[in-house]
Amino acid sequence: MITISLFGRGGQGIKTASHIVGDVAFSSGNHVQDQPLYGAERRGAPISAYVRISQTPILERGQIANSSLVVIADDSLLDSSVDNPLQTVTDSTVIMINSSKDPSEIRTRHKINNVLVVSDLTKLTQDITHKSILGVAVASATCKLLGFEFELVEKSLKSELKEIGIHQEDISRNIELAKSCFNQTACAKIETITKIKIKESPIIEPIYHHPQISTCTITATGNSRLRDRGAWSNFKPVIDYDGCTKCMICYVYCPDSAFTIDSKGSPVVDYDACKGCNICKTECPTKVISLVRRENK
Amino acid sequence: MKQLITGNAAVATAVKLCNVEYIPAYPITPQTEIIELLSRWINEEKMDAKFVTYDSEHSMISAAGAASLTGARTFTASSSQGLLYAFEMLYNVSGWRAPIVLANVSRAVASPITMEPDHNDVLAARDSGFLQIHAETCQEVLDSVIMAYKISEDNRVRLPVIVNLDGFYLSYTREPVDIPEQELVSQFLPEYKPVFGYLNAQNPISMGVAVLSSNAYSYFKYQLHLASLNALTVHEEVSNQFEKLFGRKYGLVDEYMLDDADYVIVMTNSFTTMGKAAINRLREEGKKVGLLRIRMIRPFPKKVIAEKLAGKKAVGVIDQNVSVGSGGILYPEITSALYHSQERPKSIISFIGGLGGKKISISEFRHILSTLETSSHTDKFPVQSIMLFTEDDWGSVKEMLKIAGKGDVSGN
Repeated sequence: MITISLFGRGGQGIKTASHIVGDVAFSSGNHVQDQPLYGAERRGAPISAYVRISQTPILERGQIANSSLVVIADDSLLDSSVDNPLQTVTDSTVIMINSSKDPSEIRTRHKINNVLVVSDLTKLTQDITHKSILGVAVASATCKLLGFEFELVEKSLKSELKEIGIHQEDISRNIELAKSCFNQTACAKIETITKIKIKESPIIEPIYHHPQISTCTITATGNSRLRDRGAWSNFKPVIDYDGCTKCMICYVYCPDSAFTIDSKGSPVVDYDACKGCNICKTECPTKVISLVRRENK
Repeated sequence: MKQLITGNAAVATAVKLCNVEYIPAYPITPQTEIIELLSRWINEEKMDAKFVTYDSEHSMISAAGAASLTGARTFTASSSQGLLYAFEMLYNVSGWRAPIVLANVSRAVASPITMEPDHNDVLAARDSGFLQIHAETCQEVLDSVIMAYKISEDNRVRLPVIVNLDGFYLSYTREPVDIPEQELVSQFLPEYKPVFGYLNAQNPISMGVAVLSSNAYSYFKYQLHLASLNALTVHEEVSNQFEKLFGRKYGLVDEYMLDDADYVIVMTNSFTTMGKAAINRLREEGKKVGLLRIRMIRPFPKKVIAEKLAGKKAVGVIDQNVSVGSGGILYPEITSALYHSQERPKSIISFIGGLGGKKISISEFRHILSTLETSSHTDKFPVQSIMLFTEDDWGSVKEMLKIAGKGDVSGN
């Protein structure tokens, strides 16, 4: 069985990517199972999706334990110990990461010794579709790594995007995007998983704890600081202070209270809290806020 | 034709194939996709049904029951808190003998809030008079909805049915599903045309009436029980007809490597798939272990369970639920089904696993088997249910407790 784990953030099209990969594998005559997994159904929150491809009926469900291929659509997830997209990696896993960073830097920083494909799918997606929804690019590159035919990718993405209500013009741009991603990605040798290897853990007998512990409450304060909330965004708002009238509309509209007002009355963005939602840019009456891609989050 | 669809899409597809006429709806994760698909198809005129959104699940179930009593084939869906919110009306709808089908997409019940499945939601409705069919695969989900109408509308039964599918593990999981031809489904399940007991202006009747008499109450209530028990026979007939037309056969229970097994693990719903994989692995290691999945939960197929488990050395029941203060919910039902069997297994042990969608790992299956082996060789039987929870599971919870501000928790 070939097992593929895809990691990204809500709104990036990861579920659609898993559907395209699933469709392509299915129309190539395989048994297929695919599933997205998400807790908070929220734009920007981490999501994962799993695709299992097999010659025989699949006797597995849920999260994949050992991945043949790990695809990471958002490199900020690599720094999160909670999401840990590398936890299903074995010695033979092929890893593909969407990043503008240097592959050797990623290798060193995250101690990766596997076959690693690093590709700036975000740039390609922006250049061609003028948007930053990565599903199609991720799916197309994944299908190429797996050695499937482009015709099947095109057929599936047309029907998947139509299904979720994407306009014809955008579908055409996405086909162009898929083609570029497909052509620039090389095939890889993807290992099949024959026997799952997991660390076995003994069963314990839970004992009673005081309600102070055993009631689901949070007593610690300020622990949202433990998560890099700004990691959610691929773009950051930048204010051109020359044209800013200090009207404070951005400050009022920001859903994450990421704006503060400095001593001169000018708005200042806290990039650790900004999720790049674009609302400030949309609401700014003098249009002095622009969005700039975050290179090193 | 086989298509890759989710469990939710399998439900919606079956509802469309059954020519359902009325769908009252209220959204809840992980069920919403079902009603989204149905409302879309109705909007696109691919389906001729009335779709109404309600202000709550309580109203939704009331409307479903009432609509069914006008003679309309009715479908509705819910999950978790939604099903619990509708609770009072579940008992009414079954008492009205309204043959609706309700898809419940299992999700663990708050508090604490979570999204993934266990069966405390659907099993809470076990005494309501609804029949319950619990599915393992997306194919079985589709087939069970079609079969459910046939059973439900049979005058030997005439009770509502819950078809249960696990949230995420089936609801959002795409698998190859053979979608039957409309013509065949219409042949299997003709138009619903009740000839008695439905609301009609020309022949007025009173429904949902009070009895205020214990004799009458006892009579009507026990009739529900008899109707439900009839479903055991009706299911078999319907299953045979279904097999003739569609080539797939469903029993009240489903067995896996059971015949020569000394030890048996009993499970329900989609986690059974993982159970089967574990059985394969344990068989490779030379263990004579098999699996029994209970598909029909209400009526509870006591006789067939007793037959299938007769002569086994030991049985482990995995309840993916917990009746707080008692243990697994299905365990006592299974033990009571076996009590008078001459060949009852020496030990039947209760396990609780998969709560809130926690995966049941190979370590846990191994633990079940070794507990069964030990108990069949010794005379030691645990009094309480055994929780399937590993040292690693506890390690991750300890981390969370620390972040939540509870310090280093000692113990375990």
